[in-house]
Amino acid sequence: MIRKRIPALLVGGALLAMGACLENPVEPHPHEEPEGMNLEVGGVVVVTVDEHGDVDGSLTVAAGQESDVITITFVDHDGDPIDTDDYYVEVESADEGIVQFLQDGPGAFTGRLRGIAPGSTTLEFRLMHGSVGTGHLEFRSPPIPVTVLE
Amino acid sequence: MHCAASRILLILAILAAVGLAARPAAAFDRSAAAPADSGAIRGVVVDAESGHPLPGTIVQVVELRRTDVTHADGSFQLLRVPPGRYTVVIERLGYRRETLTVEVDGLDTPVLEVRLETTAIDLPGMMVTGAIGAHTEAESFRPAHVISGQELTRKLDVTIAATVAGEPGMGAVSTGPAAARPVIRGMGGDRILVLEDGGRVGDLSASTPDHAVAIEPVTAKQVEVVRGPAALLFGSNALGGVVNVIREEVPGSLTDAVHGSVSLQAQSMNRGVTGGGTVSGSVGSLAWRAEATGRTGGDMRTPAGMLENTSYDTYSLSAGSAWVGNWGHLGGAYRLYDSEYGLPGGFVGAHEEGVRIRMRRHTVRGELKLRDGIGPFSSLDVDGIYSYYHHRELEADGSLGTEFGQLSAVGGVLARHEGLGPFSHGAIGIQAQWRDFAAGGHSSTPPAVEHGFAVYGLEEFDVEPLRFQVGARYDWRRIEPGEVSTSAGIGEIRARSFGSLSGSVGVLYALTPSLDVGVSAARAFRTPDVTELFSQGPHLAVYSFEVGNPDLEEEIGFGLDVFARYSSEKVQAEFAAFRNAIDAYIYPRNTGELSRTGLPIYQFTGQDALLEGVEGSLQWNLRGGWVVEGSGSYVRGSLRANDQPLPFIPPLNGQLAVKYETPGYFARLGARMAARQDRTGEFEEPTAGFTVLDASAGYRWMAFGRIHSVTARVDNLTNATYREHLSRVKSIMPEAGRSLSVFYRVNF
Repeated sequence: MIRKRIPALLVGGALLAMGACLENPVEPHPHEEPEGMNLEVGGVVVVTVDEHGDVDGSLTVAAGQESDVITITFVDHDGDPIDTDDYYVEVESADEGIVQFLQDGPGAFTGRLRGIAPGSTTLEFRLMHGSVGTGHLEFRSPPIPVTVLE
Repeated sequence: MHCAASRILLILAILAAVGLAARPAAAFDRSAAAPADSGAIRGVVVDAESGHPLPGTIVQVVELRRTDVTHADGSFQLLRVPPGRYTVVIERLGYRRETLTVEVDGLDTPVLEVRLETTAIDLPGMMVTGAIGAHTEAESFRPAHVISGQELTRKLDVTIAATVAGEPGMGAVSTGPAAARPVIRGMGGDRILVLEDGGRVGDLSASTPDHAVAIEPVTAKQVEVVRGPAALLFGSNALGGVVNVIREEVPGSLTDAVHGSVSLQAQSMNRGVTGGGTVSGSVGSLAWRAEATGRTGGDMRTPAGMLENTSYDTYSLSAGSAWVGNWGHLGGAYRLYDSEYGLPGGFVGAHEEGVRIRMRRHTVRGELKLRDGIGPFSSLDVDGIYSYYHHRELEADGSLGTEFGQLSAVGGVLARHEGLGPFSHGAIGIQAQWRDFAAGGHSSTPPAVEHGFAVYGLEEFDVEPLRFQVGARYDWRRIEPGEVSTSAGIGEIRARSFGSLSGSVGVLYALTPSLDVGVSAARAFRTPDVTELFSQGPHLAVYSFEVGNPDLEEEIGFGLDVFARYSSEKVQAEFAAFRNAIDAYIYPRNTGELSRTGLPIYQFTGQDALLEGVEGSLQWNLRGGWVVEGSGSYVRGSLRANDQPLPFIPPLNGQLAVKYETPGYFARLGARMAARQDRTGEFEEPTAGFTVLDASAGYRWMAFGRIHSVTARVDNLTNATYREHLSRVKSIMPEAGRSLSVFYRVNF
């Protein structure tokens, strides 16, 4: 009677053994959640946004002029830059009659200010995940103050 | 053509070839004797009025879980039946189910002649769900229902949840047509166990509404629903009830011919096509079974337009075999389930185009069922299930959003006894489980490993005229995150252990031969899962930012059911009132705040809750094949502290229908109704009431020794615009518009 059940036992055991050898298909890695942002000019941080959404610093440019290159960095809870593969940036000026932000390419993490007319306004920086133009929002900065000087 | 559609046609062609090549079931040799150490159960089934043989009738020996199907001359035989007393159930579409008690004494058994009477009403079915063993709905100590045969064929839908949603107390929370999960008495998530042949399938449908249930309904033999706390029978967490899809993947019976079925379904609401086939047979003492299904559908059409990105493409394959003998059977089965489906977009913070989900499940199961008896126990079941599950959520541009991986294993030993001391029936068992969960991509849930162990016992006894069932179960469970840490957002992420006792007491009293009344009280518990404990981040597919709570305690539920069942030739009715008080009920509370990315923030919290309500069903056989049937359900869910409504509680709802049925055909016209639901949770949208008309008709015939059936169904006959309260996409689209569905099945 045992002999007749050997094939079933072998097949069943093989199936179970095969299943037991499988590894979890997902290699977990902590997802870096952007919680803050830094804006740097010439390697110097001129604006910070902390995890509470508080802004420290501002941007300035002269009317009719362009600023030096501004580098946009997003940081995690510990202040470390996050990996930006599969991400892009959108920048929106609250008043393009005062200032524009010219990115170095669609979705680029660098760009320059162009002063249009004297005055004060704000910029909003958005970190998007996915392909440029079709991604979803991962981080939205509070309004970053910008002053255009005469 | 979709890849799945091509696979469907190829596989169905193979199965159809097997079915056609299979010899039409031949009459048994009445002179053939069973082996000397066993007997046989033989007989012939005829129409009580005409005396004509009834081929294609299912004959089931309940205690042995063995079946045969009558041959062209109405005969059946089951060989190698150990001596003993057995319950034999004979059923055929359009006929009253017959239940016989048969004694097998090891000698040749006289041929039984079974005369079936026609009936238009659905009589209580035979259930296998539960630790005690097979029993009828009428014998259940909890409100329960079996959906099988023609009723199942009429109700089959894209998902299991949609298939059972019309039952008393049932609903379905959905995120489009492909992602739906059952809700029982206002409770959902993993408070409702969705099982396949009594086992967990290892998917992640319970964790969040965008995750579909990885079970294909089209090849189900029957679906059993148990309402109310059922933890004692199936494990911790089953506070709300159980939906068990029976298909017997591991074949437990030998047959003398190749049997099976081929099904095809098409529906207009999404131009969907479904195909499924099963085939089973025996070679000597080896029983085998194979199955293939495929399902494909486009975006769902509604009266308000197309619900974009709701298409799906699914297939499933299964193979099983077992060594079967007088002693029982030993066998195993493997199943592959693969699905891709879309979730609509258009919500705040979500993609305009929505998300697509790809899931794959591999499940291996083994079971040993000994019928010979061991010591004081009449039977012993040993089973184990191992599942590998992978799930990826893809954003509109095809990039990976979130992915989940889960390995899980459940195993147990169950020993049943008959007539032990004062107890008429009983069972004791142990169960162990393990789960390895990991999330990747844009997920904020840490990986975790879970272990669990349980021991339980259930006994039934009679104190005339009362029947009692008492049981107790102890569960222990430990959840260990991959890394212990302290999060500024939610606190200390650490290992948690939970242990608790469940118990139940049930009483049945036969007031009259037709009327039973019963009371059931139960204590059950549910442990918080990894997501509820440790989440802290966006979950785009459900348009939310989820914040867990590592300090959550287990839910403790106290349930009370009072019910009455009436069963006669003319009327089948059941009425139940229930009350479930749940301490530390865990739910995601909408805080009313938005994350920096504009997603609504949901905080998992535990508060004492109360769900109470009533439900009922009625079938009234008028005369001449005409039947009036109806059902209704109401549940009220509140937080006990302030009577604030719980979110996602279905409104008062019901159905009413008139049906005409003969053994050869049926026609049905019905209405589904729901009241307005404005008793809603914080920030939850109310829904208007509605009445929707549905119609269906079916025809059955014999050809070439095989039973064929065609069922046509028109849902939402008037193309009404309505919204189900449990639909998560109701703010952007109503339910499907008028839809024609045609279902064909051949049984061989």
